[in-house]
Amino acid sequence: MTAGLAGRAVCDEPLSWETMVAYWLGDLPEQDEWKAEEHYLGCQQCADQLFRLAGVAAALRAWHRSGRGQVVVTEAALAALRAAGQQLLELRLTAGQTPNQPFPPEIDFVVARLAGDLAAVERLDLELSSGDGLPFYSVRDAPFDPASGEVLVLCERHLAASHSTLLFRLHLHRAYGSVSTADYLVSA
Amino acid sequence: VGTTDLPERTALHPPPALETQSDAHLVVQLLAAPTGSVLAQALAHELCRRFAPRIRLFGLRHLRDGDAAEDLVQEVLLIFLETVRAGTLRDPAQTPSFILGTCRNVVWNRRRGDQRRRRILERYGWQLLPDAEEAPEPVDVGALTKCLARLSERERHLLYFSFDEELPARAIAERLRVTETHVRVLRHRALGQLRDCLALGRTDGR
Repeated sequence: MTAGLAGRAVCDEPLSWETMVAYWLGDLPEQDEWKAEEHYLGCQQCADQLFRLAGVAAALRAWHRSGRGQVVVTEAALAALRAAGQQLLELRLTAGQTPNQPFPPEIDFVVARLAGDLAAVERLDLELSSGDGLPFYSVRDAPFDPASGEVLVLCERHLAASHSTLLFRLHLHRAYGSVSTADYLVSA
Repeated sequence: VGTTDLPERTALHPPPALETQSDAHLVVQLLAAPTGSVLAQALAHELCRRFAPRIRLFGLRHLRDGDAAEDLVQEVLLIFLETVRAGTLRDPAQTPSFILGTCRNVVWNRRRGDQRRRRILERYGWQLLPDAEEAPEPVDVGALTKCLARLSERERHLLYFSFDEELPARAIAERLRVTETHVRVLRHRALGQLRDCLALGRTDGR
């Protein structure tokens, strides 16, 4: 940083975007964090960039917590939705069974808990379709917790209610290229 | 500290000459300016205008709470101005270091439930109330949705884990079955794409 007394400072060693991202997410070593803070506290140019990052970060957090951000979710995400006052209808589904389940108008989201043995699964893809089997939404390589024994899928109520039957199809990839499919159906 | 020593909120726009000067030069001038003079008020206000958003960033990063960050801004600026006026800021070029040290002390004291903060804010806080437009820039949800759609699913998962669940890189690496280094690279690239996409949307109306 060139910081002459008479002229406004010009940043000739701006913090890298990578450093800013790591800083904002608490992923910098303490000494580097201190350096980054000392720099942007004296540098309007870098503070402006960090401000933009903070804005994007806040928007991302709000977007995800509105339920729009993710189809395959975690228990923590569901807890955040409940805490925000969202009404969830949770269905524990077993492959091969087709329960009838109305989607009452007061709910905001349907949560499908797809139960299965995930212990040896290395990759998981999800397809969401109406009863005709034509997928209208798919997620490749969805994150999941193998120990939990279930995959949590979040659907907005209007999406779930617009189909008489919903089919959740999991493609479970295991070692040596083995792939199996599990179908979970629910009828409104 | 007398209330008349503090910059008034009505002086929102400093003379252009002050806007072009370095932080350190403003501090040097404030050290020399007669207490309570128009010049001292303008200098103090310009310094507050510059440092408030930077201190707010520090507060948002460490306190994760907008209201707490606003409180931090007010207290740090007050301590800074008191120190300058007392003539105990040894080197004006080291102002960022001083601000950083003060931020850290205030956050540390806050975490220890320091009562002094409340007393100061009750007495003087309103005078350094930050401007509303200095909050993080709001992002259009529609534009964000479009920009996120341009990322790969893996990148979207990564951002979800980073910003919603606030998982550390190691935990994300385990979930996505990649290395921590790869998580960091993917993460800053995805955020860079998002930043550029959102900036483009603002300029060309998309």
